[in-house]
Amino acid sequence: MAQPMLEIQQLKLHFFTDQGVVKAVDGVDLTINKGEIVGLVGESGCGKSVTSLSIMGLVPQPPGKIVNGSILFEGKDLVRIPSRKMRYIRGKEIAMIFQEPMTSLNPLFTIGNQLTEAIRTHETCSRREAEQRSLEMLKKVGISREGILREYPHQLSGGMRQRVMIAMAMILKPRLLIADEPTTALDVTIQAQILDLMRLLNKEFGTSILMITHDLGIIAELCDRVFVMYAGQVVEETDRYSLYKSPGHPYTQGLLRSIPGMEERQKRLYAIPGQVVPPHNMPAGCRFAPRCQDVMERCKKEVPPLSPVAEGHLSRCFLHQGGEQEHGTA
Amino acid sequence: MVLLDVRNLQKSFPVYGGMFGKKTGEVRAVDDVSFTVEEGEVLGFVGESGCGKSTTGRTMIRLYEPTGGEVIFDGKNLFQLSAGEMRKTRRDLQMVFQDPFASLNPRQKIANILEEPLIVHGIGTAKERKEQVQELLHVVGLNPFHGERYPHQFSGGQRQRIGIARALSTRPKLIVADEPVSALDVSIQSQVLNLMMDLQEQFSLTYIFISHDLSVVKHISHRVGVMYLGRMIELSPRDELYSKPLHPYTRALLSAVPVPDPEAKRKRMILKGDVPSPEKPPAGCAFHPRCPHVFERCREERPVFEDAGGGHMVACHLMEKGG
Repeated sequence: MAQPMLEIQQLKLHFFTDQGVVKAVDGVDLTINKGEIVGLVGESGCGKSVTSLSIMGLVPQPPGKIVNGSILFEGKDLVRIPSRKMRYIRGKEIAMIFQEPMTSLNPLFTIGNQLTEAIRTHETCSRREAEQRSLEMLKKVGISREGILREYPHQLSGGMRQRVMIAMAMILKPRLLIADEPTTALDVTIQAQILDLMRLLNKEFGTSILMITHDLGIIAELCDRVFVMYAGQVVEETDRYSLYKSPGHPYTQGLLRSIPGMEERQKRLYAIPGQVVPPHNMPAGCRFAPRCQDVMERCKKEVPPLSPVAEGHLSRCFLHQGGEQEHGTA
Repeated sequence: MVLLDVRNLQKSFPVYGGMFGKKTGEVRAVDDVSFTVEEGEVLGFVGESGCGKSTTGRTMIRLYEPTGGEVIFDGKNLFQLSAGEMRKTRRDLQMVFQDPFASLNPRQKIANILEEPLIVHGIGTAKERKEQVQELLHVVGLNPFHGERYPHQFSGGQRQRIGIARALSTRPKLIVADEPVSALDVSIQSQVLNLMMDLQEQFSLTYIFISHDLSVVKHISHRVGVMYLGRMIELSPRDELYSKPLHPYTRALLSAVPVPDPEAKRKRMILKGDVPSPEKPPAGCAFHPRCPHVFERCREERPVFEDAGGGHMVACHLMEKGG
């Protein structure tokens, strides 16, 4: 039986702005087991990045505020942990890499400086030892050139910088790595290198990975389980095979059908009508109702619960409950 | 009929450096690129960042002054036209840009943005122009009242529709679309792609469609060209390119694209290293330092871009070696 390493329960994170309350994360449940690669997929503004930042305690508060829920990491609730303890966990036990490696690396310090700082913040060890460990880790991520420790971020290419970021994140052998669109800024051939590397690190160190992406192709190649988010809520949770074979939620179905390049040129692409609802003006019922083809009266009034469609496969849609019938028929 | 004939196009940018900002070298962004585009065709360009696909698109229509080569558009040699003649020809050559946030003037109302090209080219009376703006809004799927709004009041997908409407306003023959859907989410991306394909049919347009996304290019193009380090290395009808790629780089590029099907069985070719700097391109074939099939000749001699049969153009020494 898989052991949960991270359990997010009913997390609600709202931003209190002058325009009103933005419910960026609105009741998210998400678990990651030991050694698992979990995908979190959704379009811009769906709350996937805010969810990941709240795990790290990196959402600026105010304007953000966790109004409900807990984030259990190996039994500790990260929402209620003192910030001093959180600093120990951050980096050492949970590490994160971001989309743009150039803005995450400090341009004024050498690669060696930044890597050894990560080690020496969390562990007592000599500078020399820290440099030795940095070099080993850089070799693991595929950088073996002489004098790399004395180079500055601007001297490296985009792919190399992302490798350095991964080395920095992995150097303390964290138990969970959060990767927020790590390859979006990179070219496909470099992306293939980075995805390969992440797979390798997952195998070698048993690190769990939370992969945040908008690319359903990456999910198919890398992830064991997938969470699909729409407008601040998880709308579907399943393993990667059934995600593509039998997607449950109409939004997931629409997303998969909108991917170009699968069919003949003459055919029109499927397009989900309309746009994502504005964040401070959410519909009362199902958030996807205004764009859904199978919308029913009930969808406009009630928020559907995440309910099982198959073993280990949840979807937030009334269709799985026998359409217009009453609650509890599922 | 051939609408556009590009021959040996070249574009270099000077590199300045040193203490007194002297010219220290040059980047060959476009290095001897030739191709033709038929009327009503969609020609896609793919390649990774810095491969010169955007520069090719822009130099071709003289948004950048070319360093060499010639472009015959609709019977006219664009590089020999005077500034005035070129301006007139621009009616027929329009462009759609990647970033819908940066390419619309934030201080202008949409109606003014769409009317401006008509004023510049002296098309119609004030009243006719107003009517045409309304019609443009309609064809790209926006409402008449949208004309009175400002760019910041629109979402990314809607702005891209406005960018397309602006390109259409002068009824051009050729539209160069540079990464038009790259900034959009998947569900919005498919709406804009459908719109572009519909308009192409409706107005019998010709597109040059530039993108780094191989699936998007596959969807919309009739023929596809692959660029690497300023050179065109393969150009062929779309199905042929995606099913039987000839150049080792094209094969690696195609195999690197993540496929949204977990059960797809395929061999992945992972290239080593990065794209070299275009300031110091490798001698011989530009791809040889990363090529798994490299042999002696590749390091010395630049392969010729030629037909490998059935209009499938490729620049690789392996073609001759294999017979």
